[in-house]
This record gives sequence, structure tokens and C-alpha cells, in this order.
Amino acid sequence: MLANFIELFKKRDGATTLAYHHIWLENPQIKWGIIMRKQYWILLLLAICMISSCAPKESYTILYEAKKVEEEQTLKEQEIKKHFRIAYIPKVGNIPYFESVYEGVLEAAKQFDIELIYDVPTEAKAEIQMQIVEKAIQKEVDAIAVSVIDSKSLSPVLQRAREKGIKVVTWDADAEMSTRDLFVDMVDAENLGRHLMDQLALQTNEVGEFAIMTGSFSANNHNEWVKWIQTQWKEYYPNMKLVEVVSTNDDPQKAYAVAKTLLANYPSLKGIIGNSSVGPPAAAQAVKDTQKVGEVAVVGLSTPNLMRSYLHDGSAQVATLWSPKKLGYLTIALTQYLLTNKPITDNDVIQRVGAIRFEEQQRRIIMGEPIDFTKENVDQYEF
Amino acid sequence: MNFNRWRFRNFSLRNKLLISYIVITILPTALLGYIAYSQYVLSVERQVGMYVPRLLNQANNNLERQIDQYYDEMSQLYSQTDVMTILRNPSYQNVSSMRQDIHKVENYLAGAFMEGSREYIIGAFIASNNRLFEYTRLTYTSGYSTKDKIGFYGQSYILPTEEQIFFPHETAIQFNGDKPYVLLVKQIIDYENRNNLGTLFVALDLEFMQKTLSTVDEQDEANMWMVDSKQYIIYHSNARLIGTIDKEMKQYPILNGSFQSDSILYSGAQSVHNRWTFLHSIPVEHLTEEADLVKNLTVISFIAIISLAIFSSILLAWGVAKPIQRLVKEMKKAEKGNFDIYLPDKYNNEVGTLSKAFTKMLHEIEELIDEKYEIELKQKEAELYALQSQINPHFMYNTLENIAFMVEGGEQELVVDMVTNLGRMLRYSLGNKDQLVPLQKELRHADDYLMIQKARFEESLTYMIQVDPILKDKILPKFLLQPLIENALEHAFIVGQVLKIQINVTSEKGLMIIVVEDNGIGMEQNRLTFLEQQLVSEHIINKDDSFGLTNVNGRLVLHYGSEYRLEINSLLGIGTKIILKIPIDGGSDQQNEWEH
Repeated sequence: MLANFIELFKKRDGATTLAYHHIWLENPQIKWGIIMRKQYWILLLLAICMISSCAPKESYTILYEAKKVEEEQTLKEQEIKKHFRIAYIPKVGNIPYFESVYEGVLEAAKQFDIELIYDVPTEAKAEIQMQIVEKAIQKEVDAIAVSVIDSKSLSPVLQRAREKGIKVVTWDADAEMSTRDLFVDMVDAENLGRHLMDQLALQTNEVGEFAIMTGSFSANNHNEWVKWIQTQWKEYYPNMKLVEVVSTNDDPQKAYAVAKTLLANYPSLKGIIGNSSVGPPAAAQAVKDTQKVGEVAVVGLSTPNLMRSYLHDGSAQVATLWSPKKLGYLTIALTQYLLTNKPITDNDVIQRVGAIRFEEQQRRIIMGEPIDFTKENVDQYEF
Repeated sequence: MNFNRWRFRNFSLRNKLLISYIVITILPTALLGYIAYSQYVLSVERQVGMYVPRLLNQANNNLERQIDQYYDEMSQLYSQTDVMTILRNPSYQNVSSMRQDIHKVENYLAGAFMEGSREYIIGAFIASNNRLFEYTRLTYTSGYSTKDKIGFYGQSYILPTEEQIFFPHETAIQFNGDKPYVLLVKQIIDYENRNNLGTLFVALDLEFMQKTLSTVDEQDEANMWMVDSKQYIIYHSNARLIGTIDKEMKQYPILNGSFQSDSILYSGAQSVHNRWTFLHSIPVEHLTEEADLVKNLTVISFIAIISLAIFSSILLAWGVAKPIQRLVKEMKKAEKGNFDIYLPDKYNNEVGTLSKAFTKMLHEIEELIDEKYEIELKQKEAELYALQSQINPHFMYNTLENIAFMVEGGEQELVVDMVTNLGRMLRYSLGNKDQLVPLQKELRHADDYLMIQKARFEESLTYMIQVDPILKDKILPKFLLQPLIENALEHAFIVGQVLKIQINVTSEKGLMIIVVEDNGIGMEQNRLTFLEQQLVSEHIINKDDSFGLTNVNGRLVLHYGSEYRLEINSLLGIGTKIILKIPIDGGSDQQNEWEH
């Protein structure tokens, strides 16, 4: 059958060629028509050959392409990633604790390529801090990271900043919950308060008078801790007696004076808890100066650097703290998260920080567990 | 033109039917089959092309989860305060305290990474502050001295991310027996002091991957491999290829998804967090194995069905076309005048009806023709008969006048002879029921006639009749000779010359040859030609004076066929010779035929 067909076309072709031969001579344009007809099959064959042979050998046909969700995300991130300006505002500048925090802040700023607007209250006074925040708002920073001295006076200002589209992150000490986007807390207040009480009880064999030196009565975090210290004391240590809660205003001189006064007023005092970093060193110094080393135990929140000598000479027993460097780093890192709309979840592992807790409802971060510094380990820490 | 033959409409019915059957049945089935098959293959490829990347992604995720677990275990280091303390304190007072620390850390490494279910870990190292702590299952070699290694990976070495994977070609470590491995690297960061304490390495035997990949890599024909961004093959289902470079990879159009090259289906999935890509390849024919089986079966059955279809369509086409072709053949035969056709009566369909009708029609035509022929023949015969049987009135008159003279002259004997002769002639004429008579009788009649004429013309006429005796009983039509003699008597007389009429009957090659010859006036050439034309022409009857000749000729032709015409030879002034040829006994057959 096929042979027949081929024969058919051959013959037909030959015949047409003959039939039209005389017309060619008269109408040259027909000639081309005939030639085209004649060569049609050859052309078709050629075309097929071209298509099949000229195509590159290593041709890949895509059958299915997976959605590149991840790539898109990274692209977005890169787009958003710009030169952010963050105003970093501690409570006060000239104490080692905040200087340590600042070290961490610098580390993060360098890593994330952030421009820091660093303005420090010369004194831990709410008005000064308010002015600094106002200035930051005027400078149209992208975010404000602040350790709040006085929640009541600062919250309205922070609210205004937020209304201007500035992200507000509080750290170390919180403002009103509604006036900030995130609070980076170092430790769980209840845990810390109860732990500090336990530390003191351990040193005084759970008996005797003790006093608390708090930072300031306006600072939310200090008040929280004091509350939990007292809760723990009331629950577990009936043989101990809290004689006084005094404020240091985060001023080393004032703290030293306060400590001296406490030691003078309560001769049978067995221990002092300091809940801000200036408290314990001042208390230890006072204990040392009044030759009551071994008689009055000093525990509380303070940095290893401040406490190192006191721990070694026995004028202080335990210092408890977190790494302020880590706090600084984490604060800036999380501010970066907010600015780039990166989600934060509970138990998130933050690069170079580790796992953190996140209380979604209160938008509160808990950096981790407090570290106890003693004579044995205090030399490992450099802040 | 010859090419007209190749136009479809000029094809024979059989070929048309065949082509139509093939076009209607085979082409659509073949096309349908082809399309169905190719679509199926395409859909299988697409499905696999979507399915495999998902599997690969799953494998990726599994692997990443596994690796994350290992990283989690590595992170446990942070809770080891002893170890952390050692790592934070790089300076030693004496060797023994350093050895003590090394012992502690290596114990930790052994306990944390080498015990229990962590069978795939072949080694763990901590490089920290110019110290190297290590614990390995296998001995290893490294291109660097221990000191260099520490310098390289120690405290100063900062990774872009805290956790990272090194592939074998990125490190100088080589385990005993070239065991393929990946190196999980974790920066040990002192979160509190914000500095790097060193780096923790865990070498993982690649076998840990095999387990994960075996879920994907089920088929024997399939290949699966894992490459890093530099085309280095970290893992391959063909173990020999581990550690080589995948040269083709640069040409792959995508790494997330599936693509096809020649007959191989490739799939790929990139790791989200790490720098590897899983690739999978499988020959397409393996995927379409089942389809191919079905295809082959289909093709075989298709061919079977097709050949059956062709066979049956040939039969069918022939069944339709053959009787028609035969009909056409027979019709052509009939057209040429041969009504002797045979058409088998076996079909009961339209063709059969057509055949029957045609046969019937032919028969009717034949009958009609025969009928008409016979009628005409009879008519002519009758006409001729009527003519021939006429005794010329002139002749009668002359004869009777002669007899009257003779009676007057008293020639009684002669009168008796004349009357006898005339009586015999009349009797011969009347007794004309027999159309055919023996030669003898015809000659007798001619003799009678001539005798009567002799009596009339006396010395002016002589005649002679010669006959081969064996022919005497041969049969010939009646009244053949008389018109010829009449003709001679009418036209041949030359005044003052004796007219000799000679009748010779001889036989030659089965023919009776009768020659009637006279020495009369003869004929002019024109007249002869005219006469010959008259003889050939169909019209037997004319009222010409040559009526006698044409009559005889017509009857001869009627009886014996056109080849038995009269022959006339004549020369002016010399005489005329008329030759009759009659087949001896031959006429009887034809006469029989006429009677049909």
C-alpha cells in the first residue's frame, strides 16, 4: 500500500511536470509554483531533519518547577534590609552594667549594619530620658530601644513615637505594655526574686534580719523583683525578718551611703540583698569598711566585674546576673527582627544568643536564666 | 493522460473501498492510540516530575531535621559548665592541669557523641584557644599538623553562621578507609561574655544519609545524589561517584523541580538551610514500563486487528467489486456483440439483481433480434419466392405462340415435346414447396427451358449442359439457373451470330461450381462494375433489368452467406461468364440454424 502511494506521488509528479512544461516557458512565476510543489516533500523532510538534528543534544525540558518560597523570602529580606537607624537609650550611661550592655549593642549593630543613635541620660532621671526620646523622635529613627527609668512619665512619649511609626522596644525595664512593641526582659521576675531570697537565706542559715537595696521605686522591674523577694521570704523563711527596703537611685555614692546607714541602723543585720547592679558592690564595700565581713552576707544583682574583688575577699557571697552584653545584643537583634517583620516565636533560637522565651500576649521576651557568680567562677566572666 | 489513472475518483471501486476502509479504520485508531500513549507518558512524566521533587524535599527536610538533632546535641555543650569553664580558661600553670582538662573534655566528647545510638558519628573535635580536644572512632589523617589545625579552626575562626556543614572536599581530614562523611561545625560562642570560645566539629558517617534516602531511592534504575554548590558529589547511590564532580550540573535548567533530557527524567530539590542539592534521575522508560507493555500489547493487537481489518476489507471490497467487475467484463463482451455470456447466479444482493436483470435483458435483446431477423428473413424469402416463382408472361406468350405456329405448321411431334417441356416447367414451378432441389432436377428444368427457347430461336441458339455425374443428387436452391439463362437470352444475342450457352457443373474442393457461359455481346466495364455493386449491396430486389442476376445472388447469400456471391466475368463482344459456387452438403447446416 505504501509503495503504491509513493508510486502515486512519483507518477503524479512526473505527469504534472510534463503537463505544465509548456506553461513554464510562458509564465515563469508558475514555474516556481511547480517547483515548490515538486519539492514539497523534500522540503518537508528537510524541515523534519532540521528540527530533529539541529536541536542541541543536551536539551532539557522542564516538567515541573517547585515554588521557590524560600528564595522569595530571602529576596524580600534583602530588599527590606536597609540601613536602619536605632536610638539606643539606657537608664544611665556611666555605670559598668549599662556599659556592658552597650558592648553587646555595638556587636549587634556592627553585625546587622545598624546606625546607632546613642544618647545617654547623665542621671537616671525620667525627665532627661524623656528629652532624649523626644530628640530621637525628631531624628526620625526607625526604632527606639530604651531601658525605662519611669514607666509613668515615659509611656506617653513612647506612645507618640509609636504613632509616628517608630518601633519601640523596651529592655531591662519596661514601660506600659500598650506603649511599646516588645519588651526584652532578662529573666523571669518571679524566678529572679525568689532566687535572690533563696541565695540570702542560704548564706544566713535562714535566720536573722535583712534589708533590700532596690534601684528605684519608680522602676517597674525593681519593684517586681522586690515583690517576689518578699513573697518568697514570707512563704519559706519565717525566721528571717525584712527590716527595710531602700532605694539607691542607681547611684554608687548614694548606694554606699545607704548601705552604711543600714549597717549603722541595724547592728544585728545578717544580710543585704541588692536588686540593682550598684547595690551589692556598695553594700560589700560598706560591709568591708565597717569590718563586718563574715557577719553580714551580701547577695544580689550585680556584674562580675563590680563584684570580683568582693567575692574573692569574702565581703560578698554571691552575685547574680545575666550577661548584659547578651542583653544588649539580643535587644538590637530583636529590634532588627521587628524592623524586618521577622516573626518571633517562643523557644526561638537566636543566632549567637541561644534559645529565648516569648510571651506572646504580653509581647515580652525572657532572655534566659540568671547566672550566679561566686568566688569560684567569677573569673570566667568579663563584664 | 496517464496520471488520470491516479486520481482517486478514477480508482477502481475495489481500491477506493480499500483506501476508504483503511482511512476510516486504521488511521483514526492509529492516531488515537498514538495520542493516548503519548499523553499518558507525558502525564506519567509530569506526575513523577511533581512527585519526586516532593520526595526529595521530604528527604531534605528529614535530613535537615536529623542534622538539627545533631546540632541540638552539640548545643548541649553549653550546659556543661565544667567544659565551658575549661574552654574559657586557656592558660595553665603546669602540664598536668592541662592534661587534666584535656582528659575532661575528651571524656565529655566521648560521652556526648560516641555512646548509645549515635552510631553514625565517627569523630568529635573541639578546637579552642590553641587547644584541640578530639575523640574519634576511626583513625584519621589530616593535611595539617595539629598546631595548624588549631590555628585554622580555633578561636579566631569565625563562621558566617553559628552552624555549618563542611563537605569532605572542604576539609583536609581523611578518615581511615576513605570513609565518606560530612562535618557538622558549630561555633562555640560564649553568649555571656560575647566571644568565641572555639569550634565544635562532629564528623558524621554518610551512612546516616543512606537511611533517609532509601525511602526515595527505591528503584534500581534510579540514581540519587547530593551535590554541594560546587557540583561536588557528597553522596551518590552509586558509591564510586562520591567525591567526584557532577559536570552536567551547570547545564541543569533548574534545581528545584523536574526536567527531562533525552530519555532521563531528572528531579532536584535544594536544601533550604544548607548548601546541598538533592538530585534524582530515572530513565523514562522505567517509569513508562507498564505503559510500554500496554503499548506493545496494543501495537501487537493493533497490527493483528489491522491485518484482520485489511483482510476482511479486501474480502469485502472484492465481494462488492468482483461481481461488478465481472458484470463490467461481460457487459463489454455483450457490447462487442457476443451475447453468449455467463453470469453466476449466486449473489442475492444488488449486484445479483443487477446481474440477473442484465442477463434477462440480454436474453430479451437476443430474442428480439432473432425474432426480427427471422421475420425479415421470412419476409424476404417470401418476396423472393414470389418473384422466382413467376413464370415470365412474355415467356409464356412466346412459347404459346411458338406452339401455335408449330400446330399450324403441323409439327405435331415437336408440339408434343414443347407442351411436355412446358408442362414439366410449370409443374416444377408449382411444386415449389421444396425450396431445395437436387441438381439433377434443376438441370432438367434448365434443359426444358432451353429446349423451349431452342424451339423458338431455332438455329440462332445452341446450348450444352455438362455435369459431373457425382453431383447429380447434390442439393441446391431452386430456380438458380433459369434467371441466368434468361439473362443470357435477353442481353447476349448478336444479330447474325449463333448464341452458344454452355452450362458446366463441376466440383472443386467441396464446392459445386456452376458456370453459365455465353458467347454473346458481353458487358461494358461500367455495366459490369454497376452490376457487381448491385450484387454486393443489401437490396436484393430491384426492378432493374438485371433483376434475374440480383435475385439469384440474393438467394445465394441468403442461403450460404455473403462469401457465396455470384461472380460475373464479361468482356464486351466476347461473352459473359457467370460462376456460382455452392458448398456441397454444406448448406444443410446453415439451413438448420435458420430454423431456430
